[in-house]
Amino acid sequence: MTDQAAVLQGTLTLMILRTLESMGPLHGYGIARRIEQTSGDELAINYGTLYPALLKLEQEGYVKAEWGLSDNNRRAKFYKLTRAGHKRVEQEMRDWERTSAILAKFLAGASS
Amino acid sequence: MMRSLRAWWIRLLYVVSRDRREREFSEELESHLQMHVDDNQRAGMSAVEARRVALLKLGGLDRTREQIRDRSGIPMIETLLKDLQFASRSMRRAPGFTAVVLLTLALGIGANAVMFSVVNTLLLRPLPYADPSALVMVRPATGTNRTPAFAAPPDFYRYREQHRTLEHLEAFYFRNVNVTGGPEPERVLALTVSSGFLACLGVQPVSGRGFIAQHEQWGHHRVVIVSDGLWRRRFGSSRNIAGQSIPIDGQPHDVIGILPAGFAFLNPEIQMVTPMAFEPGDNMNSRNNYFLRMVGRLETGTSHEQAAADLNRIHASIAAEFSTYNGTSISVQPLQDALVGSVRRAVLILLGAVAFVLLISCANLTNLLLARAVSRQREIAVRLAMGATRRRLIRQFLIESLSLSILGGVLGLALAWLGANAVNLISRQVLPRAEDIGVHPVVFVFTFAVATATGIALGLLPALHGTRVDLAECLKDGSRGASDGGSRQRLRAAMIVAEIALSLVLLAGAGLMVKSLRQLLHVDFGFESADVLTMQINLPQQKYVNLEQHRQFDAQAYRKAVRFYDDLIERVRSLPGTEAAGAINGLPLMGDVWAKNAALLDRPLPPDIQGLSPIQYRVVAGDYFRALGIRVLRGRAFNDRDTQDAPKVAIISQAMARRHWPDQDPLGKLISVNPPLSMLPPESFAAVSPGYEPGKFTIVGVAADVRYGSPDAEAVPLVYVPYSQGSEGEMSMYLAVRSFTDPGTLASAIRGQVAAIDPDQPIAAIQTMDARMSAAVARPRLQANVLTAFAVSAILLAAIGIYGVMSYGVSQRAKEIGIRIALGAAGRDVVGLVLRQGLSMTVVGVAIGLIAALPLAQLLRSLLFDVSPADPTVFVAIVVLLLATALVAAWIPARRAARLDPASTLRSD
Repeated sequence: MTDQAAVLQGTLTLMILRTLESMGPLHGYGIARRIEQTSGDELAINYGTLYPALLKLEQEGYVKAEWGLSDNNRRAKFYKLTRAGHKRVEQEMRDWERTSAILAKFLAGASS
Repeated sequence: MMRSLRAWWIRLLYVVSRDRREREFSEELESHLQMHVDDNQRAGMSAVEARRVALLKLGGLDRTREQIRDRSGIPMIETLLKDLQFASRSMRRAPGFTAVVLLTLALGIGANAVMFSVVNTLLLRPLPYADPSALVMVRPATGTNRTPAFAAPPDFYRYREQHRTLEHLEAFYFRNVNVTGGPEPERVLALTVSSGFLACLGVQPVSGRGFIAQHEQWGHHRVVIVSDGLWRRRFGSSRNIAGQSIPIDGQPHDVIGILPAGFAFLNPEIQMVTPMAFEPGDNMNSRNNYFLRMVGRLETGTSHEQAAADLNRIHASIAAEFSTYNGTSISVQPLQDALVGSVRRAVLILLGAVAFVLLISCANLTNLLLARAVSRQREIAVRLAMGATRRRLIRQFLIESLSLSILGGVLGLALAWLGANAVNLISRQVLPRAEDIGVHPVVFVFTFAVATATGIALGLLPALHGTRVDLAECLKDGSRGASDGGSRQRLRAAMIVAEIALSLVLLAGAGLMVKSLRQLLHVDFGFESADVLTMQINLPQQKYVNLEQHRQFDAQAYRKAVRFYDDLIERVRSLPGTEAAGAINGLPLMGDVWAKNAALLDRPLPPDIQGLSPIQYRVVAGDYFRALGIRVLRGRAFNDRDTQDAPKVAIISQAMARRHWPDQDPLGKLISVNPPLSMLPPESFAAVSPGYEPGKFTIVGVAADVRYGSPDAEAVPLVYVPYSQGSEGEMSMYLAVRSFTDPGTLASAIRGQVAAIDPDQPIAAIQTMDARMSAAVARPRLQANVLTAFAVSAILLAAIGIYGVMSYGVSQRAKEIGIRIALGAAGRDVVGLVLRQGLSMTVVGVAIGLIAALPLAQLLRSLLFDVSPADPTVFVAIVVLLLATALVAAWIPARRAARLDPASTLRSD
């Protein structure tokens, strides 16, 4: 659990961006639920940690926020990728894939 | 990079609009929780359970909010703002304390800012000319004491022609001219210059053009560049100079340019610049007349030492031809140093003194803040107990003291603005460049820096001490919460010791200056200044001199001028209220006006001019000696029978008699005031008439010594001759009139008499002799007054400091004192107890102060007149004064201590 959380901190941004890319505009709660679901409920995060990360992305101009209505007619703040955000997802995914490939190769080599 | 900059910017904006954004975050979190609760309830939880789980999953509402807040703004700035709010609240809570601190700081910082603006203008601010660092003053220096002297025109032309290290070498001299043609004749200051002078300074006329080389030729020289002020007075605001001309000394001069407004060079009163040109054969343009000053601009890359070497090479070649130049040389000095050299030391000393005053105020305020920190110990303990770090509290303290000092600085700057303007007005007669003194931008920077440094210095000690709190002790119920540790007492005592030491140094400086001023004012100047009115009259040469005869050294050339002064003095003498009237070419305390070499004809002549006796030369008319109250010690004064055609007579000063006839009676001896033909340099033969022979004057009187130079300079040998017999073309005379009543009332009557003789003749510099006296000692007086003001503030601050610390000590020790009294101590014993403590601090301070003051006083040496920097009376007097002040300051709290009611002090708690 603690190890998971540590991994999570570094990758939370990527997960948020990826979620927004695949799902389109979504509120914070939605993003949190979506991350939990896609990870097969293996990742149990404090939903609260999501908000500073979203704020940082907003300040850096990768996402934009707007108030709207949720499926259940609740007022909620919806986050949406900007053009720069789309580019960043591509970039981060490529980086991540490369990193994990190298790491996988290394781990495989070390075990044999 | 760009992205993170953008993020910082947004976070900074957030700090400003924080309330709105906070609300938005709360709403967002609330909506998050609502959606989660909805889902949980749908999954079958109770409403309470649903909310509990949602909150748990969020990780706590407050924690999340805190995380968001940290990310959304800039925490450092926010705590800073919070600290500032806190500081302003605590300032408002103690308005008396705040007012005292702010006022002290404003005065201290303001006084520093004023002194700094003086230093800035005089010493730091570049001169208002192009590339001023390359400008140099070039002066011939004579003899071993290297007193600056003037240059003769032929020498200047030679330096200018042959130098290799300068971009420019220019000559200038000041003269007073009469300007007519306006509604009233005006007498103004003209700067007469070689043709490249303005270009050398880099000053461009705002309208028209500068001089060209041709203007130095006689006949082409009647052109003038006028000051902005003179132009406006004469021609209004139009800038069209075409065809305009101004009569100067009766001759029309074409206006070829207008100077930029505010142009000044050595003197802010310059009204016009004229080219320097000499009529062929003019005696002025010879090595008989030394009156030029020189200014130069160094070529890039040359030092003033190189320029000096270059000019001295030329000077040596002149000296090879004229033996009188032996032992002389040329000095080259940066212009700025030459202009302000004489006051640099005084101004820096005053800046140091005012910094001392600020230090003393700081020591007082530190004690005040220390005491306050003690009284806030409970508050501090509570905050520490609630988790505030010590660092955070120290920062809080510093921010409080910084807000105080910067507010004080702002107030101080307002005071400085008033102060600098006052100095500007007051010191125009006293300081060079005083007209530029003001609060310039760099003064703002200085003030801010001083305020910040003060704030840190003030806050640091109380912060370090105040936050060292024994929590348990402090918070214990019933504890006084304000126990005062020994280290804190020592700190307070150290502040007092420092204050007293600093005050002593200031008092020593002020004491020495005041004594020096008193010595100066008690010098016998040799004349009586009361009830004497003086004014300057400058007759135009064209009207009063026969120039043809003048060139022949013929005394008859000045007949008209002699008649004018005789006539005028006769008319003034008969005015009701006049006691005596006379005239002279240079009044006492005006400085040297005319130096000559006298030949004493009762002994063999020396081989060359250098062997003759140097004298100051004065031509007088009327009852000059009676008018100024100068005693004629032997023989007689001049009288109406000493006319142009009568035998030539002279009166010598006592210094002259003492030097040359120490054991003899000088009366009846013959002297001449011009060298014999054999000693004249060959090139001036052409200008001398064939029968030239210097006039022989019989000494008929010896007059008491009069200080004609600066007030602190001993009288030098001097020769008076009647104007009619020895004027040698001197056109500018000072009328001196002694009256029975207030001399001011005579001015308009005298003006009327001048106009009755010549309605076009202006008079200038109407001043009582008393006013001239006080102007002559104005600078030492100002220095003494300012230093005394600083010293008085210092001793008052020190007294307040001692009083404050002793009162505080008494209130802290009330219980102990109460016990002593209860146990039978007499009031006397209690007073003694407190006084001893106060005095021991003072004695230590005095000792340290004396050790510091004795070497520091040496810095004043060059400013002191007839006082040793270690003058024992001054030092004894200030030590006594300081001890007495300290005793009084400690006595008041001591008496209060003795009157404590033991019952009430022991009960209270």
